[in-house]
Amino acid sequence: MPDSETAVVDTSLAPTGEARTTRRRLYPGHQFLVVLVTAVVVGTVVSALELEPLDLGMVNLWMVYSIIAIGFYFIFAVAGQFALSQAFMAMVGGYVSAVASPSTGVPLGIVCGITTAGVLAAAFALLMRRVTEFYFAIATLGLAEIGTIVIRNWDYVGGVDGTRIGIQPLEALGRQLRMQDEVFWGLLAAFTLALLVAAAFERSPLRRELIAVHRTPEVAATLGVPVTLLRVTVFAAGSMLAAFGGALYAHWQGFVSTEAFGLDLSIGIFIMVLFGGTSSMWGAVIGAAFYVVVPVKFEFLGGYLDVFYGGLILVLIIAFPEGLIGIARSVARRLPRRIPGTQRRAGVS
Amino acid sequence: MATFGATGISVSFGGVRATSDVSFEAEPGQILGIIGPNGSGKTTLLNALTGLVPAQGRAWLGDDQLDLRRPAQIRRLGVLRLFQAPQAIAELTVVENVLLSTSLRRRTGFVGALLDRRGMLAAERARRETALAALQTVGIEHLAYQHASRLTYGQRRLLDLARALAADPQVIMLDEPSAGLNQTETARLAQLLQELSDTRRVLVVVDHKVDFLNSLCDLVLAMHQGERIALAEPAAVWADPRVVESYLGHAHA
Repeated sequence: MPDSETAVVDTSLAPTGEARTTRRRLYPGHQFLVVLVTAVVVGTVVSALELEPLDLGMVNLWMVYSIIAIGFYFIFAVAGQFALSQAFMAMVGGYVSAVASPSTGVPLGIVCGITTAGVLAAAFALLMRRVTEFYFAIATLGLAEIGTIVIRNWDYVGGVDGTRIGIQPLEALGRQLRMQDEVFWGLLAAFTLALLVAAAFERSPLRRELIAVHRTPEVAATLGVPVTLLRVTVFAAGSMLAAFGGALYAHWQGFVSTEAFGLDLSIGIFIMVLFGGTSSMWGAVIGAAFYVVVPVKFEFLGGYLDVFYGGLILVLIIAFPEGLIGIARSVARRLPRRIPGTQRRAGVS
Repeated sequence: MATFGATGISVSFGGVRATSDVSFEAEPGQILGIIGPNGSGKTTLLNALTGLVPAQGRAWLGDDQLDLRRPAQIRRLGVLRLFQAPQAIAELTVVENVLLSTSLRRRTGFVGALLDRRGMLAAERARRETALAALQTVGIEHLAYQHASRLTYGQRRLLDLARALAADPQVIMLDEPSAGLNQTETARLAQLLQELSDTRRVLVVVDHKVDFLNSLCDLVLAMHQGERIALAEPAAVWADPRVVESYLGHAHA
């Protein structure tokens, strides 16, 4: 490069005092480590606390909802698809696994549930590939409504009026998990697995491409990003996570009803992802905890619970627009940082 | 490298013909300028050639036909297009923005991201080196890990150019690349485009600045109300009375 040219760059496009950037590691591996550490911490804390079955049940529900909410995080927060079908996809996972398990065994039954939801979601997304934003929301609502009616009236799948009982308990290592604490370890393993899968997506080129498809589909298409393929696969993959959570829920509870996966839960999933924070998959995990814990811990408010809950949501929206994970971030920013594998000195921001 | 051409490109919006029956052909290494007053159909022509609006007519790159209904196929053939407004995605870093244009080289989809991480990372590293080299060429490598929201307008333009460089396409179409740039930036842009075309690519440049196109282009296509009114070397086009008329109006008054 001739000197004169460098001079041009320096005068017209000079950086405004930023430190020169060193080449960073692509997709740092410690994400997977964070998942494993989280699993160990959750396992240790829960066994140390010797929780009552009711509280342990909340932990279990938190893990199930986290799995469903992480799926929704990819669909909604990353890919920007306004879907109201996440609870329904969990329902599909639950019912299909319940129907398949007697002949296939529970683990394969869960796989059947996940696969069915994946195929259904992929077919739907392909059909709706030109439908976006609120129209997509309405279409997913339609899918959920129709699907729910089918399940409720199809006795082979839905049992009597959509309530299916006598579902086999979860199994692990040839053992049936019946007690709440046995279920906990099974769900913790599933939760960890789902987080590892999610971390693999989060740390891959797909994330940025999904964001590009969300923000500027035309530009993404002309750059060579496979727009339709990504739209379809993210919807299918997110729905499969929902089905995984739904199947775990069905086997854990031993029964399912269409009410458990209704529009209430769909909106609940929105709350989990929005309040947890849309900037990271961990937001969904934190949001799910919020969603599970608050109504139970403040049950003593009785009829005022809904008012309190609504008020709390409003306050949080105003105070923490980045979601609950925003609080964690601002705390972390104040701590001196040292990330393994980088040569950044502490104190240089 | 191959010739890039089109014939009979027409786009209608309802009853309005935005471009009608436009044809051209450019050899490898040539820069084709497109001029015309506002609303003369320049951008619509680019949209048609990238599959963003329904169009009639044919376009080709060497022996391959562009499928004007499928942006993905056009891109796969090696035609890349930049937009009039710089298209940086604010949530992503600069280098991530550049990487978007090399998605065709990522080799791994959802399954690969999960099961073939080694392969995915290898492909990503190679792509990132290309992206950083492109950023260096346009002179904003020091901003590679900044969020794109922190770039100035001129830097966003350079980011778009870096995308085109990293993608290494056979044809690059630019829509008013000099808009909003100051004189030094415009000069640098012209130099970059010249370097790009020296590597036997076809460049298509839509612009308003006559000086800019004059120094740069081998061929100029002049448009007026959706129609081609001239296609020749720059000097011949500026001398064409219809071009003068469409830009300046009638000589009498």
